[in-house]
Amino acid sequence: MKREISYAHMRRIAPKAAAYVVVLAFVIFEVFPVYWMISTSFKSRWDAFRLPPVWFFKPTLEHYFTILSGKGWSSTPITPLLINSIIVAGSSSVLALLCGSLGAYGLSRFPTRYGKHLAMWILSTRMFPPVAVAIPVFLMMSNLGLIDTYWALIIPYSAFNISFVVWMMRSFFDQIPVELEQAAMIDGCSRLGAFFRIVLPLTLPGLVATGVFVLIFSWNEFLFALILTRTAAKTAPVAIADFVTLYGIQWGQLTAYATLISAPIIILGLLFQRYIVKGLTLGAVQ
Amino acid sequence: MSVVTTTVDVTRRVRREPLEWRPLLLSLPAIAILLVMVLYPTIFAVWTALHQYNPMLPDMDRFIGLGNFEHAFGDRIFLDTVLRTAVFVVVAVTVEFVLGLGLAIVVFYLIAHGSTLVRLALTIPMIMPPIAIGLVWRWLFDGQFGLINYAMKLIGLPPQIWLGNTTTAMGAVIMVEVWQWMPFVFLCLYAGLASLPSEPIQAARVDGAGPFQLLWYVVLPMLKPIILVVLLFRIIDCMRVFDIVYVLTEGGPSNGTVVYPFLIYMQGFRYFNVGYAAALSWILVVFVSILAGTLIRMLLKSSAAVAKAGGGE
Repeated sequence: MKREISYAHMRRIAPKAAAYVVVLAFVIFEVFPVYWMISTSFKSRWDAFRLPPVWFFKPTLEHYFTILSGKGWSSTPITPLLINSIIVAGSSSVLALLCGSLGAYGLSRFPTRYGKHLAMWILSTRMFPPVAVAIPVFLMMSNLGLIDTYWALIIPYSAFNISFVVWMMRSFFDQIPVELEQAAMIDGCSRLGAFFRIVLPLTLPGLVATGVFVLIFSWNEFLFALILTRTAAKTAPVAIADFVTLYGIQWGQLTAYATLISAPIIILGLLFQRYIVKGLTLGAVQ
Repeated sequence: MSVVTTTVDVTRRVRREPLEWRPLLLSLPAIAILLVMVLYPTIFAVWTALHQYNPMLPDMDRFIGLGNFEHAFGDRIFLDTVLRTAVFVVVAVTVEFVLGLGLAIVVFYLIAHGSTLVRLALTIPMIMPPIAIGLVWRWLFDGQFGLINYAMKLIGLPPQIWLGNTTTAMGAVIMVEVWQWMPFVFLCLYAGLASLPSEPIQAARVDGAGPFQLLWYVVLPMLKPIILVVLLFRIIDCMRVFDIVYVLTEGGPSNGTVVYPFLIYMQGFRYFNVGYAAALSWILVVFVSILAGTLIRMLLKSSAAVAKAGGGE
């Protein structure tokens, strides 16, 4: 199939060579800023500002030590921020996975007409612009006294992720034969028991992929973290945004920050690359 | 064996029972969270939107009916922001789409080796924290030490204060958006190309179609549903752009990069015009709902049409 069209092109080698050059240019364009972020973070403060840029330099960890020890200009150690990010992203992912998988299982196993509408309604929340509920959610959280607590972020993040979880998990559940749970239920398992003991372990790879996707979203989220936290529950992206606007010149430390919060995401994302597009489109593109 | 049949009946027979309540019951936790965090706040925002409410001013919480909406549509800043957001969405999505489609076609049909590597590399921008992206681009666009100005000097062009000039700042925001999401278009359309059936293409080739005719008359029409999915997500997501603007330009210079979500944020959380910000939120919700609804209807229609055409082969 791939060959069908390309044969017509491959009569001459020139378009093919041109194609490689164009694609290479795009890849460099897409990857270079990431490389630049990482390499700046390992440059000494003198090398970072040197123009023409130094491509080969003696890497240093000074910026990482500075920000981890809290001795930087920000004077806030990054560790508590990272811990907040981990707690918030982790808990909201677990909550979204739990609630979303249950719903997805129900929608997958008991097809009903209202179930279809329900699934579409859940899908429609993916279209919903979160910024539109920023004001009322802020007022709600203030009234409940939850501002600057983990819950203030965990609940909204779960909500924004449930549409992904329901739609991705539903497609995974659809692939598991019903007979397996039925056998378990004959052996005395309850419906929920069959779900937790048979179905969920079988969809584990899908569950993990969905979890990674949700984790990336929660880890990266900025707007709600910005408005709903102050100091105690502040997440890493908010702190970076503060620092970049206040101290826009400390590029060594800033890029070290950015690298620290990006690295885990990049690694996870590359490992689960084939699920990212599926997740982003709620399964519309495989 | 008879036991198995009964169990099948229990799960499969839907018609007999008056209402199959299990999907609803199992979805309840999910529905509850969505009600609390999406539906309830949206309805609550109506109430706020009908008030002039500023928590920073004493006694500033009074019912003004549609006053906030009237104010918005007569407000220069609001109208400018709507226009600016429209320009941002149209330009960014168009550029992303054209580049992503072109790249998908080139990689799929012309690159024999390394396409997996290309897809891996292009996954990185999409998943990076937008805050980190904004930061590194701010560093690249830096007037004094930025690499972009250095490159400009190398090719003999005058350096620019990229983020300090309204036009170039908006261009910078669009460029970063394109940088981050062009790969999404590419990956979706690449997956789409890989999923196309080969028979229609072979048939057209036998009939003597050239590569461009093949693309235009055979491949693109079959890709239409995926193209619509991609456009749907890109348009909807572009309309919520916030993080990159916040880090890259903070809405400046002189409000030149204030896009709609940023306006809501400024009104609500900087000027504390909470009622007005709620009204702005509602305008956005209504607009996005109509837009998404239209796009989804187009999508369903074209998927049905493609499925029908495919079935007729």
